[in-house]
Amino acid sequence: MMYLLATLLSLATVSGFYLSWKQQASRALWLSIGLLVVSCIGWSYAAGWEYGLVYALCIPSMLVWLFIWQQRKSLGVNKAIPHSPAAKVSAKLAASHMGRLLVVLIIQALISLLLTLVFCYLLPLEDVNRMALGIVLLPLVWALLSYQLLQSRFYWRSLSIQMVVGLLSAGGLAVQGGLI
Amino acid sequence: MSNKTNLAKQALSAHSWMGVFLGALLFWVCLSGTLVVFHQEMERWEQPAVLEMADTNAETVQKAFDNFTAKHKEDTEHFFVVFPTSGIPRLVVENDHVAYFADQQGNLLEKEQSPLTKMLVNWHLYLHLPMSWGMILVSALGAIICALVISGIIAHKRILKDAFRLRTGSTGQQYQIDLHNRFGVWAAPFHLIIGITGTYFGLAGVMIVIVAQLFYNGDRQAVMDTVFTPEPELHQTIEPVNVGKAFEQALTMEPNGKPIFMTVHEPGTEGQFIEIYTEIPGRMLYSENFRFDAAGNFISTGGYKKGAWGKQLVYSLYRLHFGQFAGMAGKVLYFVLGIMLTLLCTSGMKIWFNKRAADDALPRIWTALVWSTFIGVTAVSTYSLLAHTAPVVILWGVIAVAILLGWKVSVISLKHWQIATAVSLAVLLLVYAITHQHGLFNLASLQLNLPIVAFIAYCLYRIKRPQ
Repeated sequence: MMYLLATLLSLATVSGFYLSWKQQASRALWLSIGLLVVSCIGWSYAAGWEYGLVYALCIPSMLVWLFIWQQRKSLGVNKAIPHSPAAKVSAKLAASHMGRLLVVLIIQALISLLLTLVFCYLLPLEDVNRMALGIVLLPLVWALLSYQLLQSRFYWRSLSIQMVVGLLSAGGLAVQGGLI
Repeated sequence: MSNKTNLAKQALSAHSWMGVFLGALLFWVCLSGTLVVFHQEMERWEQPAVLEMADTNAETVQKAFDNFTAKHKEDTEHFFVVFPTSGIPRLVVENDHVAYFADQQGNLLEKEQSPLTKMLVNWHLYLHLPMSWGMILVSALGAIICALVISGIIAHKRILKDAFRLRTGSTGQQYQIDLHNRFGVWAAPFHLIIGITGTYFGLAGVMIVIVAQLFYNGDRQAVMDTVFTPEPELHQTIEPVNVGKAFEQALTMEPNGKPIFMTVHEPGTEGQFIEIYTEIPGRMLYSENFRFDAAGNFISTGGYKKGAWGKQLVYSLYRLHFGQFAGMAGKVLYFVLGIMLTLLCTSGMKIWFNKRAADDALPRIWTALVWSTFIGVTAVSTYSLLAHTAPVVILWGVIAVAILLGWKVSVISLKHWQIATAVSLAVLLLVYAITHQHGLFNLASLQLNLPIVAFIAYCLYRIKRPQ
């Protein structure tokens, strides 16, 4: 019974979002956000808060397709996409992309790891909690750093700043660990 | 150009770069992850005729264990007993080298063989690369998924205006963009869950090395012990292990729990002990662990259920990442969302190819790569049914040949790949019917064979539809 109620709450949440979108009404949008919170509580009652939170956040992403599909529009008959001549790929361009890839996967991994750890070890927590927090924050910090670097028009300046941040974090960790 | 437009443009450029450059790897990791949500069902599918049972008892466990240890006296660091409440309704006894099923009386049955499942799980965990490097690369892709979510949301200027739009027809480009954006935005919480938890598996090791060097005098085990409860240090006279007594007590200690498996650590030594892993309903924790000495006397729990929040969180990441909670409901949820994540990769690539509109081989190579992955998996599956081994070279060989064909033979179209996929799946079903006549209509085989039939039907539908 609680599962059914929680599902209906998720459906009501998505319906609310749909109505707010259809009528461009901000009040309906806030109401739907409120319903999302209520559905989290409903799911938590039904399945415990750990499963409940996952259900409440993930099930709307499937229910939403009822509305998207119903709302779909055709732009007319199929047309072929006009093609232009093949793009040329130079060795220099390929090397530059590979370089960026290595920076994102290796250098930024290290910078984000150091930055995350120095932050977590500043907090008054038990070691196990610091590690757990670090595990959650690491991919987010890494994601933000790589986004910042790749969207920047000043690639080398951004990379230099990030590397300085990484070095400062390493220094901070060395101080925290009593190595300096 | 306004600042907002500029920001969106730059975000889109970062988003495209990450998605395109790592598109193939992301596709393989997402697809394999989606498939291995059902790794337990795959194991059952590989040996459908094995006796299944809902639960077991202490006497059966002890007898199966004794039969196994009498038969296999080779050196091992562990014995394992996997219980029917583990998610696979079968009783399995094993050491580090070999595994056997057992019946309700504890008699040993046939050998456990799941080469295909192991191959698929390794594909997801390591991309079949050397283990440490593969795991670090796959974990890095977790962070890339997070970066794609963030850049994708910032790049989406009309995130609210387009929230429910799906426009079909015309060149098909708008359909791909809408599909990509709707999947990306609405399922963003799931993508972040997968990205964050996925990063943990490979990068936690690197984090432990740094923390150990800085704060624990290089002692990695000491860092591990802060998160995972250290093993008890025992000095007992060496005697036969009483697994039945331990199992009986574990059932009463967590009456609502479901015992997953039991490990006998360091058997035949003074320090041998029994550890029983029990799933706690309603909790994301992998398990609470109950430890016993060799005589089956209780020592302690692992302390995960009521431990520090950090300990509970780390021990919950496995189930959260693989959807191994709430039984079949959790798996179906993760499977559907996993398909969406995989489609996000393919639709993103299609958008990029269409925008680029260059008349070269890249779109053909991509199509070949995507569809040959299905054909490769099917080919390995068929081979494993016949030879009881699942060589990765078949998977990668099929993909490599397909990429070569996509590159060099321009007449091969999407339709041809779909036909090849449907045919290869039909051959798989035929070989399955021949090799597993006795278990053909079991739940263990039907629960995968029916989705395979559905996928063949989908391929046929796509083939018949004008493209």
